[in-house]
Amino acid sequence: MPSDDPRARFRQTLVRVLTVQVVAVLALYLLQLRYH
Amino acid sequence: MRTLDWLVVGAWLIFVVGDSLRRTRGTTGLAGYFLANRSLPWWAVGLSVMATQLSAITMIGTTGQGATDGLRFVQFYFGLPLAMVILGVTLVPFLHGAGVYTAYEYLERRFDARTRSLTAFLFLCSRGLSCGTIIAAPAVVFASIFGWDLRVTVALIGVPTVLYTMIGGVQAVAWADVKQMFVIVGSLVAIVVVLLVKIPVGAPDVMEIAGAAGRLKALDFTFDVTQTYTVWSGLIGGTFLMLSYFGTDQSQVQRYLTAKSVDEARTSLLMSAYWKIPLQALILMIGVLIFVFYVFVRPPLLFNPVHDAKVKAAEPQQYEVLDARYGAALGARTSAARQVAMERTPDTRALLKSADSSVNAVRAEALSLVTKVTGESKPRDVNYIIPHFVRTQLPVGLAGLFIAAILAAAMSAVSAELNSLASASVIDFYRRWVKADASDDHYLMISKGATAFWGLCACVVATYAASLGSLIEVVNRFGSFFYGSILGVFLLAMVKRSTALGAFVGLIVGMGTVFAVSTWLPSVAFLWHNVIGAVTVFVVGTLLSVARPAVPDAPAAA
Repeated sequence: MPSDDPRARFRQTLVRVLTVQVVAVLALYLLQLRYH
Repeated sequence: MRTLDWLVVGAWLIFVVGDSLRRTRGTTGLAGYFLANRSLPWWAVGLSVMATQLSAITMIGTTGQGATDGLRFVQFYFGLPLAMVILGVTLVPFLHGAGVYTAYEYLERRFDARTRSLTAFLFLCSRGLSCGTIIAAPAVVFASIFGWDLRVTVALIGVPTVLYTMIGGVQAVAWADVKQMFVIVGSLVAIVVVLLVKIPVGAPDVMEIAGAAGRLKALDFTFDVTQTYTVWSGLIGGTFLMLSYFGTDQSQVQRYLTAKSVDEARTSLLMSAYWKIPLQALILMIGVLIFVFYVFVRPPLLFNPVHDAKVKAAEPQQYEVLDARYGAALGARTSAARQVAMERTPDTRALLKSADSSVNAVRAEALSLVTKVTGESKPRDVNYIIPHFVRTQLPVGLAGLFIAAILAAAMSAVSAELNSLASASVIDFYRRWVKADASDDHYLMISKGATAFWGLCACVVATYAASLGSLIEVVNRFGSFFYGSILGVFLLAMVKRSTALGAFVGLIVGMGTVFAVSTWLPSVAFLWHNVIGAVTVFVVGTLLSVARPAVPDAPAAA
């Protein structure tokens, strides 16, 4: 649920974006580990 | 390229110009022309932001880079998601809420006219020339592969772009960008499918071969400021670069100033935060797949047909010897790749790696020969890999779609640049210094004239790009001196105590520091220049603001 509090909304967005980024980097790392 | 391909390209150009102009009917006044009356939905703004950043150089150069260098370049974008989140809570509400036309206009409200004029002037200088290079890169490639005059290929990209940007303003630019992103992504997905069908081994073997040849090494965790692409330069330097680009560069700021609200502007930037890295990885992966394809299909010694013909004519014997050695090296690489596909052992992988090095060594010799024959110091053969593949391997219709996608990428980047150059010229200079009290219609007419002027400049620069090479490099280098520094000024703007004097002196010192670093420490990778510039401006500006606080009647904090 999106929050009305701007700080809470920022935290939610930050966590979501960073999660996506960590998953992307992890996928690239696993790809490199498996095939390099 | 067959008739159907050209029909696809022609139909695309007519559609994109016609539909963009149709959507701008009813757009009146300067606010409509430069801000779309702040009426665009977040998804259109988000796609426009992504299309602006994705130029033809990305389509041509990055795929080539993927083929020769693998996935390493993806690290360049690691700072982007974080930068977008930071911008969403800092500069976006400041700029959108201030109701300004340009990012630099805000700096006068916060500091003074000289800081605004200097930053706007730096923007005009660097973007004015870079706009020409954005047209030049695909125009030169098209001229070589189709054997056309460079002026024709420049006109093919430049004329329709200037036309819809000049007549329709930012609304036409944004709606054209939306369509262009669909064509770009569609053609990228189509090319992946074609590659997977055409490569004579299965997907697991493709990955094994690419991995053994070092093309799947995406991450470099070493902390070395002399290395251009590492995880750390991407995360730290990349964050500062993306903050500068998306937060202070009018070509991007103008995109989200058209959004309906601050929330929609924020959401539009988050679209890039989520999708930029996967999109960039896809583009690089296409390059990797093309590499694997050419492991099994003989590639030319030189992908640029003009260079190939020149070297063949000037040094026929040397060319023949090199070509024979190239054929032998390619044969060894193909058989090594087949062994990897059959038996995955460290020995077969090492054999493939060594065979690939031999192929690269022969290509390096061929490129030295190009330099000797043509006098070009950097032949950039890598930019011709995907055009060669498209021209010789894609089925009819799809080749046309991909050429249309390259045109779309060039047009979306150029149109945003032209629109932002016009807005900075008219709002930050003409309306500020020349004629402050004219009618809206007058400014609208001047804005259309400014768009045409910058479009003409871009086409002239693109036509003479080869001879202006060193000048463009100087300007690009000059651009890198102030990119981070301008970010520093905007960061200062958000600190209540900072003063106009602090911002102006900080900007000069920041640019000087980056100049000094790039001159005396040339091994420091360019991504770090943005960090150095921004931090210097912020520290110097803050110290000066504390040492000489603003007098009470000076411009107040925003």
